[in-house]
Amino acid sequence: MKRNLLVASLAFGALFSVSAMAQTCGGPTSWQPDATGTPAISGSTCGGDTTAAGYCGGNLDAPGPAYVMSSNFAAGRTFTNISLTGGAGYDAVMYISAQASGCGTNAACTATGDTGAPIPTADVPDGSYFVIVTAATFDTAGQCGTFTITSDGSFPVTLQGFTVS
Amino acid sequence: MNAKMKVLALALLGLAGYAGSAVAGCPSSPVPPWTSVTTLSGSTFTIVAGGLDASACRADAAIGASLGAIASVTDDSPTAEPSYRFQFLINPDAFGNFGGTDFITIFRANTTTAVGGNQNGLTVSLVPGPGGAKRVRFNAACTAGRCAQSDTTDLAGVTRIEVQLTQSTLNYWLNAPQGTTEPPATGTVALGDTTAYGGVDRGIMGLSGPSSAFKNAHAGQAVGFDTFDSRRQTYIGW
Repeated sequence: MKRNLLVASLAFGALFSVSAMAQTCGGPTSWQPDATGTPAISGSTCGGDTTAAGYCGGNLDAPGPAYVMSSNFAAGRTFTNISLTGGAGYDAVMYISAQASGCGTNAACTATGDTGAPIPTADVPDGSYFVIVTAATFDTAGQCGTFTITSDGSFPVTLQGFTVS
Repeated sequence: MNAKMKVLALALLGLAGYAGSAVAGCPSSPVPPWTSVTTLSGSTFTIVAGGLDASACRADAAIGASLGAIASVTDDSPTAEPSYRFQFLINPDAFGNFGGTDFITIFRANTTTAVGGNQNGLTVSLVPGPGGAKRVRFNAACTAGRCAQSDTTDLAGVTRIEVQLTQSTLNYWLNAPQGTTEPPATGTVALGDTTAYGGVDRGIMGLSGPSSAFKNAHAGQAVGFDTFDSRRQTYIGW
């Protein structure tokens, strides 16, 4: 009997960071880093989601397009911080909001951060969230750029599939 | 904190009472009468003794060192208001001198529909004046983005700000003389046609949207807010 454990994020993420075109509310990138923080996500907000007309319950504007990820946070997590680096052309920020509140809906934020202010694990209760990278509220319309978002541990990794043959 | 939270639907001046006492008879939370409080990225919004208008209590807001920092309270009682007036007190002295690129938002009025891709129909911000001074900037949304803007003179100590936002005009009063009869506005901004915004449905008072320079230089500095009031039509005064 042969058993195959298909842990997709481990298999894919062990060797590579994810680099992709901007992801949207309709098709967010799934991000579930392992205990080593792999994969990091590198991408660009340019060409990303433009659904939002505001963030964090109207406390912040949405001047630029957004790169949208979906993540599940649960017990067993090992990460202490989610960190962001941003490229030229905009001021990168990251917002985390509950998936139950919708995407691009100006929903309340659970946590926020920027390139100098990581999001600590204590700011994110267990649950399913959208992790959004976009331009800061004071940027001008359409500003966007590249970014890399990293975790120093797992959220944790979730089992994506399991077969016994 | 005197929170005269106007119930717009009734067109009455409602003085919301507080239950509970945390500090010198002050409420432990701004909710109610506010709908919600938001504190993100190490920010705080707390009620403390010593009102800005000689009352018992005020609210102190301080942001963390992040562009996503927010220390605010939200009032969701407005309902697609084509005319929205509000007033509050702020004492920004704790920020000290402003650098040339310091700015932070102190009030936002959200609208039912986005104008120029933005649901913040009005943003009221502290911006730098000459020689480290602080001024208030009123910035209204329009179809081309944030196209209507006006700055006040330099601020000093407790400042009373009243604003009337309609779908064609923004009027503001800065430290208007005491009284309930509407004096000439300190400043007026013509907005053009903003009927697309559908009216105000949310007021947000507090600190949000700092510039990079501001969050680096002024994180953790607590400034006082007090005596918020809002209504549809009539001058608020004091």
